[in-house]
Amino acid sequence: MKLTKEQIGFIDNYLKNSGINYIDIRYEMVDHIATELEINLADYKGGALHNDIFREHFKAYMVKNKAQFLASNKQFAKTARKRAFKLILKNIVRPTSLLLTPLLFIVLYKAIPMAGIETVKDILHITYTVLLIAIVLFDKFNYKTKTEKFSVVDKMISGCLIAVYVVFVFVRPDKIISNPLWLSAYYTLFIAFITTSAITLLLLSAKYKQQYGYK
Amino acid sequence: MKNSSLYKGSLTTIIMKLLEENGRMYGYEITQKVKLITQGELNITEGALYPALHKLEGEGLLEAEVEKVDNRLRKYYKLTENGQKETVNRLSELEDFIRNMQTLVNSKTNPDIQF
Repeated sequence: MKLTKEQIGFIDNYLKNSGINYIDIRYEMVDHIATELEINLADYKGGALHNDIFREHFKAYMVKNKAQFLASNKQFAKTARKRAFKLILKNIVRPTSLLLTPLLFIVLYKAIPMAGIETVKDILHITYTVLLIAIVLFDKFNYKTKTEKFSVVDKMISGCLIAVYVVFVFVRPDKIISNPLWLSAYYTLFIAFITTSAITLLLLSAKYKQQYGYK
Repeated sequence: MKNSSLYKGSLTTIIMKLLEENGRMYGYEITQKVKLITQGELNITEGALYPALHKLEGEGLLEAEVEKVDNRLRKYYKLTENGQKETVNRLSELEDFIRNMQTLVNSKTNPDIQF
């Protein structure tokens, strides 16, 4: 006995309303629950599975197992954040990044005495403000296919925005550091972090969309 | 999971061993396979299985394939090349652990030795 599209949709909605927000984890849970129900209802005779019978079995199953799914969801969110930062770190230590980062440092270090510290600061502020706006716009319009969120992508966006907010609003290293050498180092690391995050985000989002069949 | 504190540390190794034998599997299939092999003695809960699978995937030991099956998407897991190597290591560690435990549990205390 196979569940209908509507019954699958019902399970998905139930999980969503129970706080399981990420579509990738929900797909897996829906499949788990649907497979279990189909096996339990294997002996059901009488054509298409009646919604009342489906709901009765579903309710009984969730009463017994809902806590397990919620525990799994909580654990999953933690793992997703770790995976997001691991991916950024992995991309930061790639040979291309390792080659470009010192190059960026040299350019910045040479540019500060030539163009003046304030000019360089202004240019950099504009550059990463644009990058941040791009990340926020990407979050709002691109990756949330049908308003759904993918776990690792979402954790990556929120993690980056929190990190940038803390550095920008609370720490403000550009106000503390006056030495051109350290200032160049700070800007290099910050730009490398934002750029790598943005690229990782695009690649990861494309991978998820391809994996789950979103166009 | 039955006797969870004893089994918990071996869960990822159990999953990897099953994937090594079966090629690729999905979550529910893994729970049922474990139940079948242990004749219902060991029951892996959803709360333990999925975090373990995602952890292994995050570590690059598993890779996932998603397919549409009966009106829904199903996520299949399989071992990566690193995962295959790691399975051998973890199984060997687990066998050593079991051997040591058996030695400890079955040993008769020598009355001449005092701790």
